[in-house]
Amino acid sequence: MTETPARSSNELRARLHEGKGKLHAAQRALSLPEKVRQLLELQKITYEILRSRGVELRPWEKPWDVEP
Amino acid sequence: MASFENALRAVNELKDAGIIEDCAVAGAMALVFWIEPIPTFDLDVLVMLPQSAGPLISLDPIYRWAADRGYVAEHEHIYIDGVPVQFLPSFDALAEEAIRTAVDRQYFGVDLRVVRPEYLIALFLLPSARTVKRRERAAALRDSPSIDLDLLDDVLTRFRLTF
Repeated sequence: MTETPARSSNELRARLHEGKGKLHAAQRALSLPEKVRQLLELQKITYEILRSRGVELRPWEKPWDVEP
Repeated sequence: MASFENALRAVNELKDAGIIEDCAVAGAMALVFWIEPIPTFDLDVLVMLPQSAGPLISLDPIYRWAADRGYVAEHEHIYIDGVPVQFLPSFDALAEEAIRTAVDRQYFGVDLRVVRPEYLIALFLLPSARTVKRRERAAALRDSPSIDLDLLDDVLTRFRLTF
């Protein structure tokens, strides 16, 4: 007899989906300076990931040394 | 320290000096104004250049302006206050319309124009620019509440673009 793996209910998935939607909405509603600050952080993270993967980056593809 | 705000201020100088007629922030950086930030390493600025006598357009006046101010030009980018900026001259009716219909925004008191999300989607879907990454950006924009779906439909239909 094969065991059926545990599955999430429709209600749980709907709640998770709704939560994700709320998170995206909150992110969209952030102030521009805060979004730019986040973008500068994302640049650092992305740069390190790309470098660790050995991706050949063009000279301008690096984090900006700027304030928001 | 260099700042994004100063880079935007410098871009505005181009218009004030009459080197460009109009401009608008486009590309991934423009998404910040409409949806969540996504990582990008340059600032794309769509520019409308003044009418020239011949059919060929030149970015030379922009490069001269940059050199006069000590901004370094490297390949297709000009480093303005620490930000690699790519000036993209308007290339067709869609790009012209995207600049003309751009909306006014302010960033720390600096005026700037930003391409509307419906036009950003269209620009991302251009066959010449179409990549998986750009299609994903277009899809993210389409799902955002800031989109005018009627306008999007109109733009995509007129310029014969599809997802």
